[in-house]
Amino acid sequence: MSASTKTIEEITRRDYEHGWVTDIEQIVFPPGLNEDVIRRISAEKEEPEWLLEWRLEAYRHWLTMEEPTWAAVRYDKIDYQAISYFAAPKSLKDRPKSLDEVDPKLLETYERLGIPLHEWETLAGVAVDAVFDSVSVATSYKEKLAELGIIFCSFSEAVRNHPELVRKYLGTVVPPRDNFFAALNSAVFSDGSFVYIPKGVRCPMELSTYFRMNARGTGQFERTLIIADEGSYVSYLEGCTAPMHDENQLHAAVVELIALDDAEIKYSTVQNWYPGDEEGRGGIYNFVTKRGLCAGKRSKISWTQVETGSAITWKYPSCILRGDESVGEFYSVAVSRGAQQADTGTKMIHIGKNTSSTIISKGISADRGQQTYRGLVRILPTAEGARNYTQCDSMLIGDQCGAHTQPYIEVQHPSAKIEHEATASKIGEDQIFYCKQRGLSEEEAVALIVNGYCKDVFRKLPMEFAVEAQKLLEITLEDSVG
Amino acid sequence: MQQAVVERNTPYSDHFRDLSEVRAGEPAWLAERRAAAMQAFEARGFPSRRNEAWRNLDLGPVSGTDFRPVRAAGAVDAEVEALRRQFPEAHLLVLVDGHLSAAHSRLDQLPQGLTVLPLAEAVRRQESLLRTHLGQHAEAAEHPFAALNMALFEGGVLVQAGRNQVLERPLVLVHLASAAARQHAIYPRSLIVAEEGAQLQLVEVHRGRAGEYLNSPVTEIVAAPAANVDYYVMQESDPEAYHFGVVHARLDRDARVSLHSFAAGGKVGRTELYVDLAAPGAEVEMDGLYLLNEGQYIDHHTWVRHLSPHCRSHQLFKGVLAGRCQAVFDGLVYVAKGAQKTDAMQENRNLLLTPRAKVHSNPRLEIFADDVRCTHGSSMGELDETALFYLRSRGIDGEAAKGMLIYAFIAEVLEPVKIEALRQYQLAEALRILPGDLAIQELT
Repeated sequence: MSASTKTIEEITRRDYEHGWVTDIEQIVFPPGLNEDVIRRISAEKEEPEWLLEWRLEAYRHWLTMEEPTWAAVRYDKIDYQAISYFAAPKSLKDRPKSLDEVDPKLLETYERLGIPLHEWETLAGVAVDAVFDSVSVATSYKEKLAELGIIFCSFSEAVRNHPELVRKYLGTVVPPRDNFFAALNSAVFSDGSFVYIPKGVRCPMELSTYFRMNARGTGQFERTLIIADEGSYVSYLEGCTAPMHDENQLHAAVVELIALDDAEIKYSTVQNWYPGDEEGRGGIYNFVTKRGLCAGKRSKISWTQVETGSAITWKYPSCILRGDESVGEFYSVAVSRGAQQADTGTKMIHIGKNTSSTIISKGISADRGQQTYRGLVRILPTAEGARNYTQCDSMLIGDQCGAHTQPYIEVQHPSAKIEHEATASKIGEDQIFYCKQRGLSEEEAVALIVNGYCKDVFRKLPMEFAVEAQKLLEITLEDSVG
Repeated sequence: MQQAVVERNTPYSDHFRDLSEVRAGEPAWLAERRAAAMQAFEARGFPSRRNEAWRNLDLGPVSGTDFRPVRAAGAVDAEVEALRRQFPEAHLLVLVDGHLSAAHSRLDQLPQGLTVLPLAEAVRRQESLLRTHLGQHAEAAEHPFAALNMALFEGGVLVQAGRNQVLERPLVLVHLASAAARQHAIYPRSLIVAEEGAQLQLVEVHRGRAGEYLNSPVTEIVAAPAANVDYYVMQESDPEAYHFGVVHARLDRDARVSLHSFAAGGKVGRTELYVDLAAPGAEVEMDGLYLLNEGQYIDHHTWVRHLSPHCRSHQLFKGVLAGRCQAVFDGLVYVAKGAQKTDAMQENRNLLLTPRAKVHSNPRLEIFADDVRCTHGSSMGELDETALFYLRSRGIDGEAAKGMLIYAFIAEVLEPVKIEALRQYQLAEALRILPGDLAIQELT
């Protein structure tokens, strides 16, 4: 219990602790979006012709699309011409060859975020790709991974060095026309991570990307593509923070996962973008499309997310279970407090035979936070023997918040076994009473109960992240209770 | 949500004009409500699939056909005979093609304290009651079929149970579609008012063998403080018919209402149950059973709104699907800000007997209060193999074992039916409709 008590003391400052700005020379495009801007992004990144065409086609289609309004979130209309679509630290103009050549200021930035790249490289055994605004600034552990044939690099590098892989898989899971934000991302995406795990290789370490939005008035549009070839395994982590600006910033990322026969991808996110202030000013609009394709037999994709940041979250990490006996999982803890709004959930599309999926979603709403779980479980006529178990619970803290559940279940095969359960309630007074009677303060009791409530999800996170996530949750809920 | 713009002059606007003489004697407030409903419909038209609440249904066949209101009721003697036998004890009120038929009804023993009046007459004799309630609950502004009904209903009936009246025998309202309804539309309208402390059992039956027609009934139920209403609705429209029913119940303090829906009819059969728990202590029990065969689409939408603290709602809907068919259950529990101590439960279970049956289940929660207990569950699957195996190991053949398990599945939703004749009837219907060995009947 002492560790937990300490963290509570540590976190009585309830401010967003990653709210500072790194003062660094940057190249920032002037706000606005047109074909020329896309051409400039593509030129800046020295992209091949086909990718530029791909971007332009996405852009042209995007122009014909309407921003979706079905999510249970409210925000002022986004002016897409007021956003700058590219920002990069100037010092990267000549790309560093290794971590030693990276601008010390950038390394310091990551150190302040608790991601000392050097240390992580040497001690923690986690390979990190750090994305600063629009570009990847450093990728650690490259050589060691290369020995195994694993490709882990920034997306731009992948386009340069492995165009055949990028071309083969880009847009196959999330097509450029998929939805409004995916189309926008496809047109203007700047950087992101690329991972390829060759046949039969079990990636020996966690791969990690850390996203940092720094510049004011910019949007971040990264693109991640992970391919796990037959029989391979990879665990991938993603973390994000942003400084405090009083205007809203748009983050519209696309993540595509592809698992071939017998492959497994585990994708974990700890999302802690700046949520805006108490009054709901500023903060990140997190409009993200994440989708995994279990293309091969017996493949498995597992999403774990801890969502505590962002002013607005619009995110549905999904699995398409195409291979027979493939498995999809979704574990989520989402917290909305202050004026945060979150509309999040998952989609499990069962196509192959004997596919199974599990959804565990734990929502916590506090203050004036509004949260919606929106999920789809679809069993197609081909998915004989499909199985789904869904549990989505909401915890309500305070009488101003809201918790909503919108599951969609569609079944077209009689052999499917689908179970869905949901509950919404506040923390039981009897539970708090019991803890207090054992000598815990009310605050400790709440922390204990909330932790227990989220345990099913935290258990799925890699160790380093589980600790971070737990801490994050406590910070986030500070002052919400009592 | 963007709606497809529908040209203002739909056939329904013509129907509205055609009925002007019917409405001639109506008071100004009613004329206004009807005109407003017509305008609401004209402005929005039929919902497209882009409309969330209608996304599973293509209304093309309905919007593309000119279903005119039936102006003169046809013959229904045989059906009425069957009904009389079916409910030997009940007060019987028969409406044919939306028009009250005194000749077919059996109201000679109506007790004191129970008022049953055609709406046209009630408008004169009970104007203030109607003005308070008629068209004030079912949302014509929001719902296309509630709007059409409000604008176009001709007959309709008021049932009022007086203060503290306890009615021993059930009242059965039968809406029959005669052969005259073929290719036409009927708009049954009922207003049920249970005054303070009243107790009432009421059955509404929608039945027809008129081939393709549009049935768009609206029932408004008002339960005053401490009133107790058991309401049963049976949707047995023709397998070729389009049925869009709306039931809207409003519960005052400590009122108790049970809503029971049985749906087996219609090519497209949709039943929407709206419940407003408007004052503390109100309680609603909802049960539903839907049975689908080849070519059918049956849909239940429930909208339970906890508007006040200390209310309770409980829902259990079960469906059995056989053949190529589609079932929809979409249930919303809404808990308003301040509706603390809400206790809401919702459950949807579906049994799929054959391939190509399709189920959509959307149990939804929208909660704006914190001291609540809300749960929902949904499940789908075929008959449990281990249970089948167990029964067979006891010497029961496969078909009979199936029948038993199906029976067990549906019996749970039939249990709350308090009117024995109705329960027996629903069970018999279920056994008739569903595949499986009828030997099960011997067990019951």
